[in-house]
Amino acid sequence: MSTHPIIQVRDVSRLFGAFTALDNISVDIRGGEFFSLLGPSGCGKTTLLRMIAGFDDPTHGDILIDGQPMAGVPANRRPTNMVFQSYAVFPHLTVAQNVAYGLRRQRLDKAEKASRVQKALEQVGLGALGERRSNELSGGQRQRVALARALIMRPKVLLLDEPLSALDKKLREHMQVELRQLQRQVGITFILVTHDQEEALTMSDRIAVMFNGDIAQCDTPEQIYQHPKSRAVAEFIGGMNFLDARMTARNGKTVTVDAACFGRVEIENPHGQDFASDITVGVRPERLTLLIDDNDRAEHEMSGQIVDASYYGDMTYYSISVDGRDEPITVSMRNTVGRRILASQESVRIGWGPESLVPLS
Amino acid sequence: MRGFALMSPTFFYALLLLAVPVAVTITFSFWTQTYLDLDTTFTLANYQEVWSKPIYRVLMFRSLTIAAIVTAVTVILAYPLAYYISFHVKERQALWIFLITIPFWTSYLLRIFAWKLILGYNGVINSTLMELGIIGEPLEFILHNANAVVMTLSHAWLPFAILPIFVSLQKIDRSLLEAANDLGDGPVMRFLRVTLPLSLPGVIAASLIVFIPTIGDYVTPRLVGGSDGLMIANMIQVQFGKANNWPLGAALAMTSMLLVTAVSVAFILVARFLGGRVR
Ligand SMILES: Nc1ncnc2c1ncn2[C@@H]1O[C@H](COP(=O)(O)OP(=O)(O)OP(=O)(O)O)[C@@H](O)[C@H]1O
Ligand SMILES: [Mg+2]
Repeated sequence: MSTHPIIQVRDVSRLFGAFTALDNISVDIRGGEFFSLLGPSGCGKTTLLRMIAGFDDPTHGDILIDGQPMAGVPANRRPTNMVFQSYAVFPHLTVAQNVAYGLRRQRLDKAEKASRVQKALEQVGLGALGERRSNELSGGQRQRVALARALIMRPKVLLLDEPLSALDKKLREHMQVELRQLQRQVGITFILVTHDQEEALTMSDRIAVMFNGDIAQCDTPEQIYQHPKSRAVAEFIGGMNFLDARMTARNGKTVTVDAACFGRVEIENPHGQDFASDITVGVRPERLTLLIDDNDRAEHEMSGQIVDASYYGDMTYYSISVDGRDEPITVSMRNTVGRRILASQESVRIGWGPESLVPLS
Repeated sequence: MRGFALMSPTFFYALLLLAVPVAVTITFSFWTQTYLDLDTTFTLANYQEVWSKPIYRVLMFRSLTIAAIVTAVTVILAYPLAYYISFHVKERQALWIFLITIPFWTSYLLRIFAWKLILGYNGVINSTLMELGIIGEPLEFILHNANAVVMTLSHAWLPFAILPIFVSLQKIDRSLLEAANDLGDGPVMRFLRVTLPLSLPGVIAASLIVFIPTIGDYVTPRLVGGSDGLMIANMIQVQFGKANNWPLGAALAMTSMLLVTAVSVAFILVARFLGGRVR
């Protein structure tokens, strides 16, 4: 994987009348990486993707692809291809004709064209469906046609706008794995738009989390999950307990906080952020442990009482009320062999360490 | 049975208005006119006359040609208008469509007379050109011939052709156009490979809407067509009127009906075939 940025988005804004859809965004996307744009509906993901594809122009700022400024370059001259949210499979053409659509300019002879189309169809598992009319396809098959049609162009960057959102859960998970494998295999840079945090976490090399036309954090999935910069990012990705706290000291890559029921602790500040003295501290439910046996021990402990248990099969989420806090704290527990599900009203001890806590802006 | 009972009023209504007149015409076409009486013995003589006399063939051929030209002119004028409203008018498309129909609130006859005033010997075009000294005497070729028929009818049918084309353009998913763009097509190729084939049903509908009634029109040729602008429907009218030969008129009507059907079907097949070949 090369590290030179294939796409540079520089101070890009997009205004629709008085409405700011994108607000001064900058991001570099590296060659060969699987990059996701993640955010809630209306945050500007599609707008950014369409500007990279050339369907829309920034109001301010520049987009460079492979070092070339893209201002004034129409979509048909850009080294990008798009898989549309609606798939946009041509209804008047067969599957094979759809896939061959973009090859016209390359003036290949018939045999060469047919073999490339066949190869592309096999790559996405549609080898036998070349002669089908596109209105005889299922949603998942359409999605594959759109993918094959874009991949056959051998673009530098493949843009995917929520390609899996119309599929049912099973098929979506299957396609997530396939897409990821395909991306590794072809080595093309993928930019995936999604509002599904799990999808972004499992598939991406890096994720940009967007809110209201702004990139809140751009990082690897582990970093985004373990060290979210802000409460908004943490809330959007996975579940988290939020605690009001006071910051008493800041020291390079650590801060010392005084949080209700956790007491005074020095915790990591990996992004070296500045905080106000009223700070929010986050704790992921799986970063806390329930000490069930009397001789279970942890670095720090607090006691509480179970309010509620939600059983998820592999995990159980417990709501636990603790002294010094009105809201219950959520703790998750893997349902390993022989572990019983605790009942309401049972008293438990919660174990934690400083690495369980994350400072949030 | 109950379903049939419910359906029957509309069914009989349709039967009365469509099937009965056609059946009557067919029956007449196999009879013979003997001065004031009808000879009701079955004969194919009328059809023989229709197919053998050059005058009918000339008229039939001229009607088909004029109708084809009118259709082509109308659709070629209507397509860009429909395209413009569908793709470049962002707001109030309905208002635009509505405005286009305004000239058609006046009667068909009034509009033909308006064209007579514009195209005529002392009409608007001729007098303007003469005032300006561009021509010395009135142009003859713009009225009382086939050109005038084409112009008048194309104008008359324009809104009827715009509507189906507009509807078929509206139905095109705009992301298909972006996909074509994304896959390397510039505006022209994209139009030829995506927009046009996908709007073909509208073009076919518009063509038939114009073509079929044009063949049957006899008012326009009568008023602006002169003698070389007369069409088959004028001859049918004469047979049912002055000539008082209903059986021959009926045979002419049936023949032109069959021809129109054949040409329309052939047109649909050819258009579909060509549309299916665009890659
Ligand atoms: N052509 C437009 N005119 C006006 N506003 C627009 C236009 N396109 C997008 N917007 C606005 O810009 C904002 C961002 O839109 P965008 O389509 O990028 O959102 P998104 O993040 O892709 O959302 P979703 O997940 O729902 O697809 C939205 O509030 C939308 O209403
Ligand atoms: Mg979107």
